[in-house]
Amino acid sequence: MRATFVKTVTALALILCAAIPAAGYEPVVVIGVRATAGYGSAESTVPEYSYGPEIDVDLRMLPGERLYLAGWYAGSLMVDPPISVPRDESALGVLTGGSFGGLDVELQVGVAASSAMGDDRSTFAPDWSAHAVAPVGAKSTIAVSYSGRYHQTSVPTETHVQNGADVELRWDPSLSLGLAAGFGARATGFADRYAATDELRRDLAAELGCRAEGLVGYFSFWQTAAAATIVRSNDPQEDRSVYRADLHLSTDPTSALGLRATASATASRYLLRDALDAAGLPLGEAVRAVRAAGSVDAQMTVLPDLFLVGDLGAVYGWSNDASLSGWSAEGSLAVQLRL
Amino acid sequence: MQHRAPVTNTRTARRDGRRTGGRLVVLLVLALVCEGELFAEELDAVLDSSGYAAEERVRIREIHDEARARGIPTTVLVDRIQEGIAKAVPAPRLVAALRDDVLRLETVRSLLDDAVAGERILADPASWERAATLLRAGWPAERLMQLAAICEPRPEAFRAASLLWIAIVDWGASQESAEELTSAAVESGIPDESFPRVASLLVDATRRRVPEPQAVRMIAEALRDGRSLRRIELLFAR
Repeated sequence: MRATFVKTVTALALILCAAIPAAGYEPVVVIGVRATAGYGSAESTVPEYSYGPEIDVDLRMLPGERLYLAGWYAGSLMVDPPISVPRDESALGVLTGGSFGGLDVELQVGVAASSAMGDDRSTFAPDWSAHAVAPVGAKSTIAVSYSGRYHQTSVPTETHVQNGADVELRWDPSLSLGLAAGFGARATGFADRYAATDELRRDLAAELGCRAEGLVGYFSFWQTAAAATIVRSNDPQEDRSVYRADLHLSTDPTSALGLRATASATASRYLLRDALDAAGLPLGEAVRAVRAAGSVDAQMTVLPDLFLVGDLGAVYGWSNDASLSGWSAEGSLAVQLRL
Repeated sequence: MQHRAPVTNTRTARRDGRRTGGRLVVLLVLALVCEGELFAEELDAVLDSSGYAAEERVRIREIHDEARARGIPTTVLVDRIQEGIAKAVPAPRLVAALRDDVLRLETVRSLLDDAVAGERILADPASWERAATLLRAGWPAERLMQLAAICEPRPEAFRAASLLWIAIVDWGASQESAEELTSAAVESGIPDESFPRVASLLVDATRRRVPEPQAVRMIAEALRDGRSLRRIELLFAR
């Protein structure tokens, strides 16, 4: 219901934007055809594939000196033999901000929704944030932010509300090297998931992280990040520590070609949750899991308004719990036309 | 509470100030002379180790000295001589290249003398040499004049602006897009060292399939509005 409402609002905003070009920039409308194929250890013995048309509409407006409004809608009708699954996603966001005596402040509210007919996995997720950045010396800044979101899904046990705060110290000696380190805390409350004590489940997470990034020349970018998170819950089965490392590389050597690659590794260590073997029997030890993921994607401008897009991704998981072990790989190829 | 300085003290301070200023000018002139002498000695040492015949060394030296006498920045010539020696370039070829350099630097001076803010751009030898490099790379004189006009609010940004312009064109955007974005970057007041991020914004827009003319308009308007680079990045985020 709410997802439908968001889509209606998005569609109205898009129509408004198209009808009154002076109010914003012309919406960017892209239509295309996409084919995807995937395979993994948990799938059937044959690769799964799907194909179908897609549409993507973006709008951006700068209605006032301090206001920024953006929205997008992405829809597809993937034919996943023998059934067809319409999926769509949409989002709307408003951002405002200004500088007050050297303090840069931003406030943002937004809402995102997605649905996929057939698998009953629609989501509705409003989010809000406040962000303040102050200079500390010539090339350093300190940022304090608060963010929250309500994530409602058609699976009631996954519906939750989350609120968090972060502090980050950033040092940018040059454009080719920026360093940041920070810490944050997040509280998550589930609407319909219960801990062993029959209380609604509540998680508290504390995170320590650092990041390095920079431009190489004018058109290449790199970023690497690492973070350690400790999660404590009123459901002791969810108590865990998580360590994560990420690498992101992108280069656009010409306007006709863009390449991106990402890699990440996540190690999780549960304190009390018992690992289960393939038959579902406890092994008598706590769950340990490592997940490695990587992806590459390429975008080519074949003609001024015609694009060829391809991506490949793979995930590999190792764990003493059989349900967390396995691998999967997926690739897609799309031809897109800008209208 | 502020006290007014006695008149005699003020006069003394002014006299002292004039003396200090005078000393500074003398020191500056001395420093320039010494630097010139140092360059001259360095150049002699470089030429002595070059392996060129004596008369060839004299010809190279003459070109250098004539350029200096005409007020042309000679660091580019010294660099050219060092490069020529390192690559064992025959002396006649080096002499011809040096004459081309001098001619180009003089052309830049005559062009920029007529341009808005040209005098202030020429006051910085690095910008002057940069303009000569642009001509050598095939830039037409009209475009150089356009760039000089763009840099009128901030002549010190000439070098960074020219690098941004060239990067955008090399990447595949039109000269008009490069001119508009360079102009907006100069007018925006963002530091020179952040100019490459303007090119990154164009990349972000392209990834989002925003047509180039629209992307350029959006970025330029946002820059001229005084929006921070971070906020402009949000224009193309999802």
